Amino acid sequence: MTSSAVTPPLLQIDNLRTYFHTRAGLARAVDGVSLSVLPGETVGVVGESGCGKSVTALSVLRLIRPPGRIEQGSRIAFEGRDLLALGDEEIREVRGNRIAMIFQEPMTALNPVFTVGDQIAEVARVHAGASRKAAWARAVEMLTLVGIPAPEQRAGEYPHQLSGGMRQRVMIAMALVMSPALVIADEPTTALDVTIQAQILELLAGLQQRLSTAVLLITHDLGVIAEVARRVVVMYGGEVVEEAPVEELFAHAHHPYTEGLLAAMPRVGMERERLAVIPGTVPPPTAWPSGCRFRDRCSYAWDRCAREHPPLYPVGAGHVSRCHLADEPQRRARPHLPLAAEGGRA
Amino acid sequence: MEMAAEPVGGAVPPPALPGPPRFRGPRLARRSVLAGALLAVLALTAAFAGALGLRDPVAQPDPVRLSSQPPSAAYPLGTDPFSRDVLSRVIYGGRVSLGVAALAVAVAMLIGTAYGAVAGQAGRRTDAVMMRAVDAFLSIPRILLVMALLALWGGVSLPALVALLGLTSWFGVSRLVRAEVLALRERDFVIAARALGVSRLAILARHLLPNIVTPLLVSVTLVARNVILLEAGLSFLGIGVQQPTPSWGSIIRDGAEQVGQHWWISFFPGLTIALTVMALDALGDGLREALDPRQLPRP
Repeated sequence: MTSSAVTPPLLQIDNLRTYFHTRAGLARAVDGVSLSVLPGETVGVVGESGCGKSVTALSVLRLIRPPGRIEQGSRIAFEGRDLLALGDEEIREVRGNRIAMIFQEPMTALNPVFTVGDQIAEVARVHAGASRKAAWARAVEMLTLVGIPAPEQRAGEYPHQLSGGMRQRVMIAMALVMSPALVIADEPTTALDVTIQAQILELLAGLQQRLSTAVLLITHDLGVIAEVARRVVVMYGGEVVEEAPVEELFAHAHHPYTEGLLAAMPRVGMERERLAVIPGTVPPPTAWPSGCRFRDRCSYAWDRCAREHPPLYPVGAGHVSRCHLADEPQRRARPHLPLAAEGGRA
Repeated sequence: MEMAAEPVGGAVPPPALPGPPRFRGPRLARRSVLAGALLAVLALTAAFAGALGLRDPVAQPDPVRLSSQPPSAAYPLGTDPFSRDVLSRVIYGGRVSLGVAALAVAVAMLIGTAYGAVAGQAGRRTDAVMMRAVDAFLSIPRILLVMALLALWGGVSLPALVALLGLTSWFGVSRLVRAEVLALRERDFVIAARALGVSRLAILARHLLPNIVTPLLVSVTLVARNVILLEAGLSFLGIGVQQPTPSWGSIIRDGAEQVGQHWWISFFPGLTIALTVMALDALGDGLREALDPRQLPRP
């Protein structure tokens, strides 16, 4: 993978498998994901709903509840420690302190019965053992930092009194109270208006530079990734299917799924009537197809794709792709209608 | 509380536009306000009975000539067969009945909340075992359960009665709390709190319980009405509050044998019980409507 040899990664996920043991069967939501984040780096994770992005994020903080389980053999190393080996007390010390999380929906991620100042202060009280007064002062300071006007007054308000953008700023403030080394942002802008989205991304990027925090940005929006990430990990079917530096990915996407995602993005100056779509949907995690998990929706798939599960082929500098096309590039010249589009079997 | 969709700024509002109707926060129906006032009067007279200049509720001034006198200026609610003042006994009886009920409700709410919260946060198996135990207790009619226990116990002291009533009244509360905790614990803000490293106990205290205050408040009125009725029934049967201590149930018992001739002895404590229970119901309904638009199942 791409981690430059000089700095050891801050977060190193190796072969993470998070399975849900449900009545409907074994759901392999995250199935052998490896990725790394360097100190201060922004890594984007993209994929459709159901591809395992959020479960990966929750797994890092060990927030998976039964029937979900992180399987044996998975490894999540952070600051040199194996997070999966930590006791309850120790992992709580990491949560919110060294690794913080920003959630998608700032309305539901804030407790409706406490003021936002209270909730930001709680983090300082839990981790720094700050007094009530000191914690409140810290909360006001954090609100100032995330650009909320009249922070002293806003700190005393309840979540429902704030706008969506302000609530997300509050969430960011909560995440940054302890200056964590890593912030996991799970679709931080999805619930917001486009104009507010840009503000929040800008804020996040600015704060990240000032505090030299690493960010693992989870989104389904390649536009967001292009704006802030340095490296991109594309997930599909609980696996990493492609990983590349962001410019490389946009210029030379290799995996057909990534191609599809890029084609589905509106671009300035494009004279197309309709946006391209990827036919079909993500298969349920209880029944991944054999071989390549994308083959039903892929316009290049051939018999090998059903037989053989593709490994991550190196296809460029710091660029890997889980597609047999790396082995047989000549087949890219002969696209066909994917199975899912035909609605039948070959 | 404001709806605050938009910032309400500016010191002087423009006079021409009336603006959107202001959200005024929860409001109790008039019925519930009356109910609350009635309960307050009952509770206050009971609490300050000593300051009201009433006769001694257990004194028997003249068991022969003053026995079972009808209501009069001297005895507004009449006297009982032992020549005791019924008004005084009803008010002092309220002290016992309401006091026992209040303490028993406190015990029930504490146990029920703790039990329900633990079950709701525990794993699936522990939860199942704990809730099946509650089902088992709930399947026994409570009056039978309490009577059986009282029969074993013999004559009980007031603290024992409080404990008994409290210990048999928390099952419904625990179900309610468990259901609320189960629903809340999957909410984003609880997951967010976990992601911030807040401990389980702190999550329970700060993030779960404050969000279930409303249903708990409503269930307080339900538990209280049930406890009051149960205590009255037991005392009426002579196995609850023991003579000569007055309680509403035991006063009814004093007049029960001659209710045809001396109706006032049983009627006034009975009326008080009925009013109290109706007031609690009205208050509960009002609270439910005012604080929570969802309908709650009766525990």
